[in-house]
Amino acid sequence: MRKIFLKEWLLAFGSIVTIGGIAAWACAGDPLPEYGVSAFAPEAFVDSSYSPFFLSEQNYYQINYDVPAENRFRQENITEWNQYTGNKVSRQALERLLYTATPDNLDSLASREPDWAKWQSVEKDRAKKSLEYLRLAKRSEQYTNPPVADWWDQEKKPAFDSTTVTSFRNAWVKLLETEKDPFLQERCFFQVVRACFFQRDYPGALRYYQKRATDFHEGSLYYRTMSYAAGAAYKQKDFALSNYLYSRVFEGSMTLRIPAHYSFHPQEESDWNKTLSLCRNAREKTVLWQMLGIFYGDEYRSMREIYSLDPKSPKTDILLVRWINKFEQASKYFSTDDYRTMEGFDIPDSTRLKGIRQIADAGNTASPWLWQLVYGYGELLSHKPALAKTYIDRAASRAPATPLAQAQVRLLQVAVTLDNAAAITPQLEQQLLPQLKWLLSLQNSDLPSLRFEDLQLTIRRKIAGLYKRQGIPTKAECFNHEPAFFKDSVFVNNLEQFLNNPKANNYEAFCKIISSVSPEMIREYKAILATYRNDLPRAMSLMQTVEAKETFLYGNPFNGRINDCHDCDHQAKQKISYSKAGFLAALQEMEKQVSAGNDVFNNARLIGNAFYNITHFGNARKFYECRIIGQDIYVVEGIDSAYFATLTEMGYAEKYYRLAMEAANTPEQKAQITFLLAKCERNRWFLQEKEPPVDFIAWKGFRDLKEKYANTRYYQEVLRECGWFRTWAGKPPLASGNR
Amino acid sequence: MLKRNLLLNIIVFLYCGCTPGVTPEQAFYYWKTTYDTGPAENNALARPGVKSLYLRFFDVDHFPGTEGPVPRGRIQFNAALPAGKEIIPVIFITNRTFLSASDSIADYLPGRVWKLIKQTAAANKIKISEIQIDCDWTQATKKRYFKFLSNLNLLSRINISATIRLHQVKYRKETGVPPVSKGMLMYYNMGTIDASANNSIFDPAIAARYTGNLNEYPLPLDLALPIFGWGIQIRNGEVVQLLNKMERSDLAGDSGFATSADNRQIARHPGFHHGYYFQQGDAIKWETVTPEALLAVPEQLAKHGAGKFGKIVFYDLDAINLNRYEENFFERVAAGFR
Repeated sequence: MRKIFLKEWLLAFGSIVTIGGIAAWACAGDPLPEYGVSAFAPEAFVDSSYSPFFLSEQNYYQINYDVPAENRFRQENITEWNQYTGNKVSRQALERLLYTATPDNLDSLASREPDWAKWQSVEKDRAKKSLEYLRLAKRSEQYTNPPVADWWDQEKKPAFDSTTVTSFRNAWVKLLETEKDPFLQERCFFQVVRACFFQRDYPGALRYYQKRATDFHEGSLYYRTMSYAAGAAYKQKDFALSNYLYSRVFEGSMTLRIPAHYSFHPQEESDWNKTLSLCRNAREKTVLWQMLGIFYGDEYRSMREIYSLDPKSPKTDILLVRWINKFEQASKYFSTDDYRTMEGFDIPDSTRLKGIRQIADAGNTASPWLWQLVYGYGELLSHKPALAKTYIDRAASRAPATPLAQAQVRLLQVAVTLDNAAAITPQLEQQLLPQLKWLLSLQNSDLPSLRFEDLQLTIRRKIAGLYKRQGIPTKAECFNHEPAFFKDSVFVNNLEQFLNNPKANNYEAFCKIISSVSPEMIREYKAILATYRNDLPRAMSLMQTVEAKETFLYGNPFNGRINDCHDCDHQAKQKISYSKAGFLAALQEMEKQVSAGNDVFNNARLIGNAFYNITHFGNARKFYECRIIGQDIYVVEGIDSAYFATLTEMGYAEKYYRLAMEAANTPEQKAQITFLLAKCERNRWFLQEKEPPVDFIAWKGFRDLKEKYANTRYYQEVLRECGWFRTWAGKPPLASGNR
Repeated sequence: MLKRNLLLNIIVFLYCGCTPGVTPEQAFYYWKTTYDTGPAENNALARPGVKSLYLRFFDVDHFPGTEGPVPRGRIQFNAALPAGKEIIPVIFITNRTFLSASDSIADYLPGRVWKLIKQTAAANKIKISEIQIDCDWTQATKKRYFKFLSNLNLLSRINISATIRLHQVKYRKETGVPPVSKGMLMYYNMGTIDASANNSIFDPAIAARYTGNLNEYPLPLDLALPIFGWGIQIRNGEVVQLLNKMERSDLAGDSGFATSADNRQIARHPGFHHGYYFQQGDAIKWETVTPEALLAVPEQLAKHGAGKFGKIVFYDLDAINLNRYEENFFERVAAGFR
């Protein structure tokens, strides 16, 4: 899929256009894998030389942008020179001479290299010719490796013109004609073709190439030369020849494989067919089909073409695996919620899956087990587990013995076993147990390429689903946390017992390990729920048994502002900081005072504030944050329905505000409570099902405040701080806003 | 309110030199990397109503993972520029150039851009008295982009216009108004490129949703209209790629394509055409802008009290595009804005 292509067109048009259906990656900050959702690692089955072409959202798998070129050939170049000197001149010395020396200091540097001097004493002629070659090659870098341009200053761009290159070309042609040593000859040949290319004499480049190409062996320089010939053909619009040569490079040279891939560009069926006709044998055709399949995303067509040319060709491997990786993106098999799939891939239809089965059944490919495995996996993704089992088991018996391949097969077999089960029985539990343990161990495996996360999640959710259907919610919860379960206190107690059971059998012990909820988390959860029921003794005794008792609340939970501002409360200096346990203790103390009739107004008001603050609307959300309920819930919609009522309950706040009201003596006190009650009304109003057509209405608290307490100082404060009240009371807005 | 509008209209009227009752002058955008015009383009430029050519000099982009913004696709010349027409260099800057930069980009980029503009102009003996910056800025890049424009203006002391897209008109309060002397309203690319029956290039219904407050726009405006088209390659209801500078007629004789009920071309076989690869069953949805659609624009815009444009500029100058319209078409469109 040429997605990068599309982006370039968008840039060229500079428009407001949006594209529907192009890969939608999740937001920045999420390190999602470049291969989308997957449980099938290409690394297990495809030769690593093809790894840049594994399916990826990036341009090249694990590489993204191919950053060439200065060092692309460094190592192999040094190797070849080292071999030429019969390993007499070390790699380090060669690296200095080849890459650091200039045309002018080359001779003196060489003479100071002991290796070189020693070699020279034995091979005087070769050494002399080598230096001659290198000197000219380095001077040629004027046009082959010009200094990096200052993009922004076109005048500073070094201008090498045709005449400069021409004189170099002539020098290289002359050297090529006189040089007898095959190693140096090949290098001169490369330089000649390259000089023609830079001179823009494309016919010349091709002429030289075609005249002498067969004189040289197929080493690294051979393909570099061929690439220039391919480029020259392209410039002359001889696409047939160009693409044929690029396919030869793609096949023959590892270092040039990626450039050959992105230079490959058939234009019309006519030149594509001509390219095919240039092939000397079937094998060369398979390369072309492979390139088409990878580059133009038509893996299925290509695999079939290659299969008909040569059933045993391993060139189908990468295509087959890319195909199944694409299938994974479109499949609904994985129950991931976090947009891991790459979009924009055509859904391979069942016809194609059948086509793959045909080839798998024929059994005459080089790796029949790979076709069986892919087909079986395809049927697993298509929810045909029985068929999947047949083929995956068949493949398992002949898959390679490498750790990764074996792990890959085993991974799929776990899914197959589960999918073939109608229910979870004790027997199945025992059968699955070693597999599940193995799955869990993969977190720490030394097989980084194994793609197990998505499948593991899916398996866990499936198992949980089965348990749920079978009425075993405790085990379901162990495999997949479900907040709704925790609404039921019977469930909560059962789970706690299950997790605390010392007589657990081996399977149950495993469930305990994988459960994301621990007995301690349950105790904390119960403590929190008890608080919301105002059962403080129970809350406190439970809270004492958990670490979270030491968790400090941000801000003062007893603070009640006119204008709710959690950040303000969190940033304000606090004389006393309250931990969860400390908060409960203080709350209990205040309730005791209220019962005893001491300073009821203040105590009741503070208790009311506390119950207000531990709801979603208050500054003490930290109080309820725990594994079971959740945390960092910024919007009301984020609260799981299981806890929604509890976390938005205004009842206790209102109860204590009313107690405070009864105990209030002064108008100031009454005004304050009136407004605090208005806030509770407002919060209830926010929670309506249907979104109200206006931002606010005249709550009873507003009306009471205006009617009865308009003369208080507090009234003035409210006017200043509450914009809605101010608007409703008919006052003009404050200059700087009402905040 | 009324008074303000009147004052604004007077300013606009004076500034852009548009006089009611006079056909606005016409112009073309040239957007290829090599200036290489043939008879069709030269004839279009030679029309008396055409006074200027908006010539893309280069793009500026910041490729992710690289050091900084770089110029790309600097214009090369294979043909002579038209005599007697004003050449207005256009620099296209990607939004991500500003997005991934620090605020200092507004300090260093103007100098670089201006220098390269001057070099390109000098090297090709082009006299310039105005330049245009084309950038689809957003709220996130507004500050840097606008600062860039002010600094460019201070440095170059030349008239600068900026492209204004429809969403920047509608959401003027959020995206702001660039500090330039004139805007170029890009009246195209209105919809989503997708497999539906819509026309993503030109859709008056969509445009109407964006131009309600057009007459309040505080800059004098020229109008850019589309004369381009493209094919959209579709597979299984998803867009594969845009087929640019291709026409339906390019595949007319090709038996490899059938025509579907909804007038799309469907590939009968997999294969290569015009450098694009088609899988069997791929569909091509062609989008162009009909002459009738363009001739209706003056009336559409007049509905919003808009329609005072200094110039009517056509995107883009290319034989493939020009062949769809008659020779005098462009002045006819402009005449509608009298």
